[in-house]
Amino acid sequence: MPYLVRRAGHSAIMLLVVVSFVFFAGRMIGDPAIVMLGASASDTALEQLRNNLGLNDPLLMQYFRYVGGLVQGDLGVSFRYGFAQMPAERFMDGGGTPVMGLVLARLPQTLYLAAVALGGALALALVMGCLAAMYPRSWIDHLVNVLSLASVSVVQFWLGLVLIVLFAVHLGWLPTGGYGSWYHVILPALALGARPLGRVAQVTRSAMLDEMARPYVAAARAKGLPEHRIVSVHALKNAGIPVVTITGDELVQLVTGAILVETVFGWPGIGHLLVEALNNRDLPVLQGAILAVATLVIVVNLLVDITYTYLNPKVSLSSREN
Amino acid sequence: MKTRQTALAITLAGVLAGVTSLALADTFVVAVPQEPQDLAAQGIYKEINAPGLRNVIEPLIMMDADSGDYVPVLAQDWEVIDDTSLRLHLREGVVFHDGTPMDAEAVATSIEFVWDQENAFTIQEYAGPGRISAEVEDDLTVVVHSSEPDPMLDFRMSLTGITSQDQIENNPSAHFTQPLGTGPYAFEDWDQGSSWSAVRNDDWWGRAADDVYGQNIPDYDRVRFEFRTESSSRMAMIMAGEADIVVSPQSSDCERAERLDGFSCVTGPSSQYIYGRLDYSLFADERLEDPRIRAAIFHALSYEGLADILGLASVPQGQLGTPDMTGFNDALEQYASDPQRSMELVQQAQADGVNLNGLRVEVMGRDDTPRIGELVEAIGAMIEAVGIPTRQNVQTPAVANPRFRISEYKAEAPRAMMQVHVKENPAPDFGLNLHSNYACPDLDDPSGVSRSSVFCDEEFDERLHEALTLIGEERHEAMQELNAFLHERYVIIPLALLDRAYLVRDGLDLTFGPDGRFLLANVTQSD
Repeated sequence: MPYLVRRAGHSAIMLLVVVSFVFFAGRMIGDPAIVMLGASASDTALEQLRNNLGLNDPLLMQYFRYVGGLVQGDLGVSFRYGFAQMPAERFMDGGGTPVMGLVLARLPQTLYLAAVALGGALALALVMGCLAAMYPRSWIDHLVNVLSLASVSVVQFWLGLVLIVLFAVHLGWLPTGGYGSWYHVILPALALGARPLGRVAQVTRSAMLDEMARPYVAAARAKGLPEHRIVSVHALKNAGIPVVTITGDELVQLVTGAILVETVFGWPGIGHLLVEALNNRDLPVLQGAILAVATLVIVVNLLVDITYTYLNPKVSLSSREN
Repeated sequence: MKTRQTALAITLAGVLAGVTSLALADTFVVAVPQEPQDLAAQGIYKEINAPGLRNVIEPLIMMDADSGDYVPVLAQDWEVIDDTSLRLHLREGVVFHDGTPMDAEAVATSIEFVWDQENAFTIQEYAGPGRISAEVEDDLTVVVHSSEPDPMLDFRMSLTGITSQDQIENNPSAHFTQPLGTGPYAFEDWDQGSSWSAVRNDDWWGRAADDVYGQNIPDYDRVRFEFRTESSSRMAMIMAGEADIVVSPQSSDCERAERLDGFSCVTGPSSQYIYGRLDYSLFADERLEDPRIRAAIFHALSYEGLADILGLASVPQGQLGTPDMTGFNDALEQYASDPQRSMELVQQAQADGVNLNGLRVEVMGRDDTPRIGELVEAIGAMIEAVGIPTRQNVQTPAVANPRFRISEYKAEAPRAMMQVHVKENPAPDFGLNLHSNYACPDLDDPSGVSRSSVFCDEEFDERLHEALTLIGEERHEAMQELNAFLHERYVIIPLALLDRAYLVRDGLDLTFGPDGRFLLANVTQSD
């Protein structure tokens, strides 16, 4: 437990660093009031907005106010995106659409896409890796190597467009993008899942090859256990640590990769929100979306560490000893 | 086993084919490049925020894109009372999508709501010299007033979306996300981040009218606007038959459309233009005030080449507007592209003591302008080629915007900058255009209309002030003269006029609406 507590503490510190970076980077790109209101805004409107947002206050005061808001779940308000109040109210009273609401509305879509992409990729990659390890230097092994290398090397953005052209434009089997039904997720999940598929398959193959050469596997074979049982029950669990490590890494990549994939497929997730906020110069939403992505990454890393302790109790034990 | 696999594959293929075709039935799909910021009635004045919103919310009158005359929509007839008032006679029996009547009281409420300066809607950029108010004369007659003489009050009414009075008064925040207009389509749903849709309005007044701006009964049951940021994704939608129309394709998409079957690129003039605002009489490097140096820069550019870089653009006729606008001067021509002449002008100036040492003209653009990098680079290279040193700069709006403002750029004096920028002028009149681009900014009021102008000329300002109060042929002639005045002084370089473009699926007969907008009542199926 102390290990996990310390790990959670590290995550909290990391989150604070990210929050600070997001805040100060947002202030370094120029006057937020001009960023938000654009070229046509009058100086009066700009000054009103600065006053309402407290942009005329000392930077440190703004920072502590920002962090204090975050602690209470307040990410600020969007002034450009889907606002539901009158502009005068926005400028005078600091009204607008809460960023937290926007982020929470988009988060499930990103998690859904990531879950389908990772779930599919993981299932396929484990099978590919195990088959390659069971038949080393066979045509299956070569095929797995080629496929995994290709899927690791491919650029997601490009792959997304290729999938659209092939399955939507030429074959007409699936929609080019959008959101709503189960079939809308197939192409984006394929584009997003390609990289984890390749990397997990490679690592699984490598780890399984090591395990299959260990004495306990030879002993199991000598006892007459069926090969599929040796692989799936004994070797695969022992090969789990590197696979979990790489899956954790890939989950992080998946969250960031979603930015491009969601844009290509018009998928209404956090990544799409981030790109729209960038285009609309909507600083609060941009900061909120970046924070959401960063939080996801930190949480995923924490979950991976927790999974380690389950798979390998030595992790927590060695931590205590240290 | 094999039979089961084959059956599964056939079923799967059938399901996939079915779901794809099901999505298209009786729904007209428009692929748009961005999600609207809102669907408020005030936003129908511009296409950029919510293309197609005019199918839901209608104005009182529209402008015929060919003749420049106004045509009736919710107002069947209108008359100019004097230079501050306009009387509008409304169509009888029109109801909003919530079932409430579109009468004089509702219209007056809408007009005051949209133009209320306290509401600070973006439409204020097209506000006239006075404050707009509306007065109910009888159930179907409303009089619009301007607190100052405003010869373009009818134009402003063509921009004003009329929306449900009940919603404005009782649920104003819904006004931004659930529009209630009178149009041929009624708002249905906004799926945030994905699309918004509307269904055909069976109670539309246009069904029984003989002066409607399109078909009496639109062909499609439903219209859906799909948000796709990526132009290649929008292109894929029309190639796959998922979209009927794609808004804002790139020029390369239009070129591809010529080689591919199934759709074509429809283009037409837009109200957007790109200009090069070269620092002039206000805080400018004094060498830019030498007429030979200015002329050399203007004649150094290949305007055809710049239009080619932009794609879907054409060369202007020496002024920042199109021939259909009041004040357009037919006698003017675009500045000749003549680098040889430019070099001679530079040499003449140098021989007369103009020292170009240390001068470096900054060709600057904002990174949200289309193809700005290539444009700035090309302009810089062309000016360099005639012997005037330049440096090129593309900046974010946050950095660039303050530099456009009088209150900020005087801090950079003496400055030598050419601002390459896109601007829109939906008014069929040079009034706002001349005022915002060329009138001397008020140093004591840096929020004024002409806050980005770098030109100060007393004679021009006097003549402009007078021209803005004129109407009819007098106004036209006065603005023609002002355009000629500016042309010979090499004030702002008209770089290109941008076209509007749509990719349109074959089998559709699309004509732009009376005001040059996309209206479903102007789309018919020919297959």
